Amino acid sequence: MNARRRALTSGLLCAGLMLGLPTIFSVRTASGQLRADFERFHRMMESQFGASRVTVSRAWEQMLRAAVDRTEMEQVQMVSQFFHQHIRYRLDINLYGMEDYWASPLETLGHGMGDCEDYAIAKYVSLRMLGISDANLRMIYVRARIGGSRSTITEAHMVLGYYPQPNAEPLILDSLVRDIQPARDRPDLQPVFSFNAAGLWTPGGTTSVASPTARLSRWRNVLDRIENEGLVW
Amino acid sequence: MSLIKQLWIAVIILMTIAFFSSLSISIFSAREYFEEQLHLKNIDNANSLGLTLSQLEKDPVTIELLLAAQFDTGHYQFIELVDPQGEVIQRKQQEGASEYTAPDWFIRMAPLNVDTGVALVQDGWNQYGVLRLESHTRFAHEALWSTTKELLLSFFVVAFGCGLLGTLILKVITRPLDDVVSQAEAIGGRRFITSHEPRTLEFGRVVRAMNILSERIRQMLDVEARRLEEMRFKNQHDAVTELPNREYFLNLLDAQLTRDDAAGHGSLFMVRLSHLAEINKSLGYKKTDELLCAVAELLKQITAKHPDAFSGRLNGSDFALLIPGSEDLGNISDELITALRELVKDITEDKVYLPLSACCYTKAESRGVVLMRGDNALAIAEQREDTCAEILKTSGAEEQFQSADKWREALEYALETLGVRIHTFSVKSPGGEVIHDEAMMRLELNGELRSAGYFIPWAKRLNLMPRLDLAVAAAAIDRLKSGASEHIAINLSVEAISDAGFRRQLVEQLKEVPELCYRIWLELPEKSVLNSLEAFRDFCMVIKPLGVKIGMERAGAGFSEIGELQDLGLDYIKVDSAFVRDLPDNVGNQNFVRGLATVAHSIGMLVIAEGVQTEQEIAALRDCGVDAMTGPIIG
Repeated sequence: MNARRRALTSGLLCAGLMLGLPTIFSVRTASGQLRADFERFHRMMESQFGASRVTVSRAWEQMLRAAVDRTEMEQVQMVSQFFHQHIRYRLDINLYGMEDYWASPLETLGHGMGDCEDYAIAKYVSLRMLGISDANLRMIYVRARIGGSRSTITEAHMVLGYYPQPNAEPLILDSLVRDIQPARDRPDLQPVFSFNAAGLWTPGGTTSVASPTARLSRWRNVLDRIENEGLVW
Repeated sequence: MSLIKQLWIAVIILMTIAFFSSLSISIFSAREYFEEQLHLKNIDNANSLGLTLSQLEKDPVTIELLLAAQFDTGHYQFIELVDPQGEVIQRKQQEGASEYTAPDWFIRMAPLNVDTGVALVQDGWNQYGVLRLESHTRFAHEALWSTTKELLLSFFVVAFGCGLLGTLILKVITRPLDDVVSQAEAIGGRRFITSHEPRTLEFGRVVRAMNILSERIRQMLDVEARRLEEMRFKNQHDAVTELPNREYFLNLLDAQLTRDDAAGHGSLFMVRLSHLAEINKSLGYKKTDELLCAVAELLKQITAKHPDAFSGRLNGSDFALLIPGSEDLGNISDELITALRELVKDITEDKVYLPLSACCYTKAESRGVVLMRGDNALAIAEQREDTCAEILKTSGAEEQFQSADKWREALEYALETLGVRIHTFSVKSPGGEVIHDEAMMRLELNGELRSAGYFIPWAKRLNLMPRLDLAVAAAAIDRLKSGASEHIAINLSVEAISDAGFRRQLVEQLKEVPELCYRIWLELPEKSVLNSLEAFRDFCMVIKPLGVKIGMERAGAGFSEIGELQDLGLDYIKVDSAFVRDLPDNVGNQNFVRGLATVAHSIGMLVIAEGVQTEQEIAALRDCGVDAMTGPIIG
């Protein structure tokens, strides 16, 4: 009985939210073209982080536009390079005052700072915008040995894996390491679990579950914010 | 359509709309909720299973065991693991029909579209595959179905409750309206009844207004009727003794001798104050009047003891007393003589005496013959110069039946075996249109057909009136059925209408022929009605709703009481022939009949004159505004 009553109220809420959501971006991205609403992104950047940070977001846009016609490998290189140039590594606790905060690209670029998952998210989003398929990208939880592969000090870490082919060995885009290296060259990292947005979320897609309950998930939460910032693929 | 029906329809429509809208809202929202929750469950289960698989050795048996364990212990539609090339590694699928209690049409009507949960499985750095799973939606459908059923049930209960409550409230609200309507209808039918004021403000005002109207009409009727009564009384009564005067007495006598239902015989007593002129001188005007009044008072007392009796002052010195249906000369004259002697014993003047005569009459005789007989006997008594009686035993009425038992035997035989006959007289409007036929009862006694007056005194004594009246009613109904009469009037006796058994049987008889009721006119003598007002009132309450017309016959003398009767809704009144007899010459009576007709018309009664004998009477009655007439000349 209780569940049913809750079903009724939350159902009503949910219905209202769904109706309110824009469904403009319902066409799937064609490769080689950027469909993101950069003007919106820049406006939000300006209003949240000041006019000075807009230069960074414009640089990001330029980098993406430059990378659109390149090969996937070059795109991966450019994106990784861009973020290592503009973002400094900083722990969430110092930046956002909480243990773990998954920042959107806007926040990461706005602050110019971020930690491992912020890098991974920003790079993942950028590469997806450039048209790289979900089948080739993985956000990977890894166990990292600090100070080399023989170190006994381990730490939870996240990297972005790029798979040139779905069943090939991935290239690792790490927040702590500027270079992109194949997985076999990273004995200090031990993969634990990987995920991407497949089956979960398509920005502007009709199957998106944009309920308050769904946003309790960190990943879903940041994906929703990304959509809200005008980034689509 | 009645208000209550409309209310039920409104309740049903409203509740149906409410039911379907709330059902669709609740199913829609519950569906949304279930879909969302199931999707989250799919995602979470897929991720935790994917996480577990990522950590394991990718041994096919282990993978299969893990998926089977998850599938068999959980609630899944399917779980599958697909490698990066799209080849299915493992798939577990729910087989066969599940035991739904929710019907198929309901599941089709409210399908649940839940997205598949997807998770990635790693084998070290390499992609091992994509895990997809979908939870079973049965429980959600079950919940939706039971919600729908509960909702439907609760709406039925609420709709039924609302309807009942509304009906009850409406009944309470409109109950006073029924009273208001029935009062308005009564007033429309010129029955000026008053009724209890309902508490509802608006109805209360209407009823108050109608009550005021009714009360004013009643007062007006009272005043008018009293004025008429005064006029009538003055016109028909002796100013000193207040006994009927000569003309009135003679008219009453005439009616007794001619009317069909009058007793066949009776007795006449006459008293004279001899030497009135001398007594007036010796006693003085005042004392003489007192003596006359004392005699009148004595006669009134005796009159009151006999139902149809009446007395009158024929001239200055002569009084007369007529007792129809009784030939008990001896006892009554003894009683009279004793009382008269008592009156004169204290008067010392030797010339004061009150001779008395007593004789019998039969209906066959004329008025003149009867009066002559009394006068002759009185002359003989007067010659004795004493307060004494001359009793003339010259009765022509030979009693056919010597005892009450014989009478009963004869009456019952006539009633049961031979049957009651009816003889009809037409009642016509001045234009010649038949208003109704008045039925008179006839019984065959000893081979001779006898009219009512002959046997009714005995029938009353033997308590046979209810049976006789019922038999007459049955005969009248038969006559209506045969088509011989368009409308028929029958006389009822007060003995009959006071009898509960008679009332019940009459109602049963009438209910069998509802289509004939409005053609049946029931009448009672005015005197009986006024003497048994309560019984008559009860009778009207029972009979009137059937559509039967009710009236009074031999009316006029009691017209001052009409205010008491107007709310009964009497349909007609038959004016006593005593008012008709000398109408052409008697201006006072003309005024009375005219006034009576006006008042009666104002409360919706038809006025009919009884015992019309001459063309002059017809003309005079027409002038007075009488609606219809009956009598020898009418036919």
